Parts: sequence; structure tokens; C-alpha cells
Amino acid sequence: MSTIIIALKEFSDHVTSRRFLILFTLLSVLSVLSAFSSISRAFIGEVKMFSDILTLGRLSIIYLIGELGPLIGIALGFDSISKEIESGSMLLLLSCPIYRDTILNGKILGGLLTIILALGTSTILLTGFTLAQIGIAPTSEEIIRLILYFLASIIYILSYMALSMLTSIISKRTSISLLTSISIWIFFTFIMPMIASSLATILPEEDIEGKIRIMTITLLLTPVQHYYTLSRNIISPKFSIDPFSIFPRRSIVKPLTLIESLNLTWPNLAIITSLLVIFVAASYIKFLKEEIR
Amino acid sequence: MNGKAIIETKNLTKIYHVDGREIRAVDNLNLTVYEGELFGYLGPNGSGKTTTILMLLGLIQPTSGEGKVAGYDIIRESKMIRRVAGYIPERYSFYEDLSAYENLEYFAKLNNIPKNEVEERIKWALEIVELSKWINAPVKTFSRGMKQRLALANVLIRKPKIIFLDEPTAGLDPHATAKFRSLIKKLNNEFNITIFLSSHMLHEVRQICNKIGFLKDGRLIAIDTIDGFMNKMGIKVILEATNINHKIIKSIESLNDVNKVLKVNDKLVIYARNDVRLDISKIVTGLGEYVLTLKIEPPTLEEVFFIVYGEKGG
Ligand SMILES: Nc1ncnc2c1ncn2[C@@H]1O[C@H](COP(=O)(O)OP(=O)(O)OP(=O)(O)O)[C@@H](O)[C@H]1O
Ligand SMILES: [Mg+2]
Repeated sequence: MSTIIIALKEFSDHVTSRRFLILFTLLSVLSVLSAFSSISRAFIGEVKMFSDILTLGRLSIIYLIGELGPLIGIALGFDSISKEIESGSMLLLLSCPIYRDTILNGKILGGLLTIILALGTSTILLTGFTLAQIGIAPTSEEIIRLILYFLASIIYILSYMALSMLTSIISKRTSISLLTSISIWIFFTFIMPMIASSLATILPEEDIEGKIRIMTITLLLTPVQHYYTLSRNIISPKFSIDPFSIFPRRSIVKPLTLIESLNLTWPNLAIITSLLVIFVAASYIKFLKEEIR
Repeated sequence: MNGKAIIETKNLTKIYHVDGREIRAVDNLNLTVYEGELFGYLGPNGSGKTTTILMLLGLIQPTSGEGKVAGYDIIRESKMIRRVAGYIPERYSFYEDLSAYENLEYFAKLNNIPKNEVEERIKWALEIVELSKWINAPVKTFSRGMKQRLALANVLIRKPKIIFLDEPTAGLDPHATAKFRSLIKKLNNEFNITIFLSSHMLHEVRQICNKIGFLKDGRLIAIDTIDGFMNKMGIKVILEATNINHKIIKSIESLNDVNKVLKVNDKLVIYARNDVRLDISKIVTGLGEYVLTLKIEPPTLEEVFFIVYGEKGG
């Protein structure tokens, strides 16, 4: 019960914050842009199935969430604990007859609700817009795939929220927490891919296999790579990507069944989920024994 | 006032390690506070007041020892303690953008106050602390004194048996201080709420409390009622003479009943267990001088601490 009380306050704090409104608007605008880009692809005949809309092109929702999603997570988490410690409201909260894990549970739940709102809006905008323009309706299987993709995206964003919550607890300082989380996001989302390609160029021209191996190893260290792979596999029956390969190959033979796709998806999902679990667990351990005065 | 104990600690200890050095923030504390008392927890900065309170509320873990508040164990049943104990920290903040009502409502819900009672209790509590007029004002518009009273309302809502106040008047102006102090007394008086008030100011504790525990370097070095402290000290004798020389001082100091002799300007202040005026007068005349004044004054509590514990309050 106390968890829900805290969660609702968190949720209302989030959705009324300027920070969230900016990101929310950005995400919505990009979703609409993404819809337009798939519309133009429809005219050149690339889009044949609904799921193509979501997986094709640099502006597809996969890239949108893959790159920007973490920022939403961070925005929800980086000051969640430190702000209340810095201001001193945490002491009033702690002096209530509740346990500390209730506070964390409430904050995580509140963040989760906010993510669902943000992601839900952008998905609805995107699908609604494209549907209205090109009139390709999703099949019932595609709807299930879309829902699963939605859930996986929530886990992905939530893991970044848990990460920033952890930095918030460890640093107890909002500014440090923000810097740390943002650095980690930028490093794993943008720098690591760059490192991957520069490492590849070091190897001799003809060592293609070596280049691929070194790029694969580097990219597999980034959450976003796992997110891309699982997203393509889960959204589209046309993708049949080995979970630990970095090349988004399409299945040439025939579309995959939902079960086949799920079998390809779970290793990546397990990796992202374990990140979430690790960050949440570390947050609990650290916060429960933290001395706050 | 030896009723039921509401706080009991046994060898309660908190040790911190800073740079390999051991800091005994609270050192083998054996403290009993009884229901209905206005207990003053007096000690200089860093003596361990806040650490004690936080341990009693189960918000930090003791290194060793044990304790009970309202019958609940501070380690295993701290949640129950927070149900019956209110706490106003040294530094805290409400949610500044929310109104007084919204803040109190949030905390009331977290205190499991029945839904249909929340509004009524908030209004009742705000009435007591005289903030009814500001019920819908955002807390950021409140003065420090108002926030402090709001904090009091916030703990009143849970109808506590005991309230812990950590240096509650620090940073308040004299008017707000007086108002807050009388409010604390009123809560004790009308609702029989036990008050545990920490302070480094002797005069504050003296004004509010009827019992004082004196803390130094984490140790409770004295605990008594105010009357008890005064009796321990005995009386104070003021002497003025034609010439107070070294010999006179030495002789007075050697009297059996004299605790301490201080020379203040050209007067002599003598702290003694009994009326020693006759002896003093004999000494002065015996050494060839004349007594100009020789009178008894009640010592102040400040003097008691200064003399007995080598500490100056306020
Ligand atoms: N987290 C901590 N780590 C190390 N030492 C600490 C910690 N918290 C408190 N101390 C030390 O414990 C001692 C007691 O501190 P405490 O805050 O309880 O004192 P206090 O009586 O409340 O002082 P003040 O009047 O300044 O509020 C101090 O020496 C303080 O430096
Ligand atoms: Mg203190």
C-alpha cells in the first residue's frame, strides 16, 4: 500500500516535471518523423508488412528507443534518491513506519508507470500515423510481437533508470549522479560503436574475419546492441539474427514463426534483464544500509 | 515522576571509523526516559545527540548494545517505533512545491492513517500549531518557524506517544523560538506526549524540560531533574571585602564544604554545599580585612554545569 502511495507521487512528480515534458515531446516528435520516414519508404515499395515500418531505416523506432530510451530512463532515475537526501525530505520519509525497500519499490514503480506512458504514447503515435497514411494493418501475430517488443523496450529503459538510481544512491549528489549516468549512456551507446570500427581498421585489410570478430566482441559489450538484435527478431518475422551476431540479416528462406523468433530473442533479453536485476539489487543493498542524516 | 519507562537503552554504542581512527559517537549509553517527561538531551556539538536519536528510531544500526522505545526493540521492531514516535530532524525539508495540506496528506497516508480520518486530523493538527490559515499555501512560502510548526503538525497527525526533536529551535528568531517552545510544552501538557529534545543550549533545555541528561563525547555523564542538579550544587556565596588577597582565597578554598572559588572582578564567588558565611567572615577578619558584603544567591543551572562538568552551556 505504501509502495503505491509513493509510486503515485513519483509518477505525478515525473509527468509534471519540465524535464520529462521536454523528453516526452522530443520522443513524440521523433515518433511522428519516424512514421513519415516509413511512409516515404512505402512509396518506394520497401514496406510490405506492418512490421517493416518499425524496423526499416535510420529513423525506425528501434534506433529511436535504442539511443534515446536510456536518456528517458536516466531522466527518471538520476536524482530519485539524491534529491531527497540533499533537500532533506528523505529523513521525513524514513521517519514514517515503512521500510526502506518500500521507498525504492515505490520509486521504481512510479518510474515504470512513467515509462509506460511515454513509450505507449510514442508507439500509438507511430502506428496510428503510419496506419492512417499507408493503410497496412498489423496482423494479430504482429500485434503480439509489438506488445512483446513494447515490454522488452520497457525493460531496456528501466535498466537505465535502475542504473541512474544506483548512481544516485552511491553518489548521494544529484550532479555527480547525472554526469555518471550520462557518461555511461554516451559511452555504451555512441563511443563503443566508434571504438569497434576503429579497432577493426587497425587490423590488416585482408583479415576480414578478425575485423568481424573484434567488432562483434566490442559491440556485444553494449546493451544497445542486444536491444537492436532482440528488437528486430521480435518485431519482424523476416529477421533471423543470431543473438550474438552483429549483422541484422534477413531470413531469406521464409518468415519465422513467433516461437522461432522468441527463441532467437531470449538470450539478448536475458542479458538486458540481468543488467536490470543487477542494478536494482545493487540499489537495494546500497540503500538499505546507507546512513542518511 | 517515575512512571513507565518509554525509552530504555543498555550499553547502546555506535562506533564510526574515520581514517582508521575509532570515533565513539555514542559510548555505552544507559538511558531511561519515563512516559510524560520533558527530557532534555544536552550536549555540545558532536557529542552524539543525533546519533542517539537515529538509533532509537531504528534509522541507523547500533554497533552494540540494545534499546527499547515504547516497548519495541530498536533493532527488530523499528517500524513499530516509527508508528508511535514522531521525529523532527535537525535538518529536513518538506516537498516545497506542495501545499501544507498535500505534504501532510502524503505523510499521513504513509502512516496508515485511515482514509476517512486524514482530512480531519490534518485540520486538527494545523489548528494546534496555528497554521490553519496557510493550509493551501505551498511550503516554499513558509518561514523557518512555520516549517518547524508544520513539522510538529506532521508528527501530531500520527498521535504519537513520544516526539524526538533534534535541536528544534536552531535558526529560529526569538519570537518563533518562544512560540515553538510553548507549543512543545502544550503538547506535553495536554496530550501527555513524552518529549525528547536534544539541544546544545542549556538555557533552552532549562526553559522547556524537567529532566536533563548531559552528554559529552558520546557518554552520558549526568542525568537528573533540574531540582536534582540544583541540590547537588548547593549554594553560592558572594563575598566583597576591603582586600581579597591570595591568602583569603586559599583559606576559603580549604574549607570542607566549599566546592569551588572564583574571583570575578573584585568579588569572590564561592560555591559550597552548606552555608559557609560564618567561616568566611572569620577568615576575612582573621586575616585583617573587613567584610563589605556577604550574601547567598541561588546558583544558575549554567553555573552548575560549568562547575560540575567543566562545560559551559548556551
Ligand atoms: N557517518 C559518520 N561517519 C563518521 N563519523 C560520524 C558520522 N556521523 C557522525 N559522526 C561523528 O559522530 C559524532 C557524533 O555526531 P552527532 O551528529 O551524533 O553529534 P550531535 O551531538 O548531534 O552534534 P551536533 O550538535 O553537531 O548536531 C561526531 O564526532 C561526528 O563527527
Ligand atoms: Mg546533531
